[in-house]
Amino acid sequence: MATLEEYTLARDTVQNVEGLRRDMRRNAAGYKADRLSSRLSIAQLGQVMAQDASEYVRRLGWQDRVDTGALRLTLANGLAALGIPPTEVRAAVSELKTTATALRDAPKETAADIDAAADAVLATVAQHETVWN
Amino acid sequence: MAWDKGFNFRATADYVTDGPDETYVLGDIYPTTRNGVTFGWVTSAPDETRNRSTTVDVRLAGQNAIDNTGASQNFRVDLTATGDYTIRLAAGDASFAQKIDVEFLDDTTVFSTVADNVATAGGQFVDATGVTRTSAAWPADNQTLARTFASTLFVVRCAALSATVNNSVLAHLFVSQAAAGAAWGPLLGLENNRLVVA
Repeated sequence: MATLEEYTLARDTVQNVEGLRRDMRRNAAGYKADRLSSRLSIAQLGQVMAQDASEYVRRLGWQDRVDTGALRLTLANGLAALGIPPTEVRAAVSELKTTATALRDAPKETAADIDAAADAVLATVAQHETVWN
Repeated sequence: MAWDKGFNFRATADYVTDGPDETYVLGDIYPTTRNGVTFGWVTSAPDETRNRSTTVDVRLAGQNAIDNTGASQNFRVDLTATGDYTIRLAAGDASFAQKIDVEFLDDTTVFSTVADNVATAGGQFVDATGVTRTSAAWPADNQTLARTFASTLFVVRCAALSATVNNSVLAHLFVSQAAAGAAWGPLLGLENNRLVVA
């Protein structure tokens, strides 16, 4: 059993973390496609990748906030109601944060840089199965 | 670093090719991050997403629609910072008549009621200043709206006003952060190599 607040915090956490996993992988594939099609210049791609990385880090910061202090128990109770161990969520946040930080700091000056940074995201962010795609 | 973010609302990503500062919105739920920005429909997907035409400007090619007989819905964009922005909008449907209710909010504060039960024919779009233009005229003639945001949360609220039939429909939204000092640019000039205030 969980309260509405506990459930909501857990539901939003799953949506944020798993949605971010999807976004990071799709965007990485998109960088490579845009590089090949020349829809964006290398400079534009590098800028978008840096901005995306900053947004990833910001979204993961939301998880840091709700997994500390009094909210930590609230989240844990909600996750327990869903049958998800908090350790699994923390591991996912850590996995995504490591990749997001690496993407933010990676060089993005050349086509090779763009591909290497995108490949690193695809290699380190595990693909999770979804129902509809 | 420029922060120019365009959103082209439609049903499938590959229907048209977006411009360099743009991405598609296929009814994405908040939070979605793409093209360097986090955005999305808050809480639930729009009532419909449609591809309409590949013969109009790519920004007008499709739509996401909120049924005016149902609950209102918000499309949210997380801005990079507070401050000055310009906003561009196309609210309408390339193929079908609609009734448009659209408001702009800075977090929870409405700063512009762009359209309140405005009827658009197929191929007509309301711009950010509330003027209805044809798909042929919109690309060159649409006007932007300036806003100094007190928050970093830009919300486009749809179907919350007087319209009671058809849909409130978004085809394109563009948000551009003003360059530092840009607000003073038109007021300053050089005269005999001296800086003057107009």
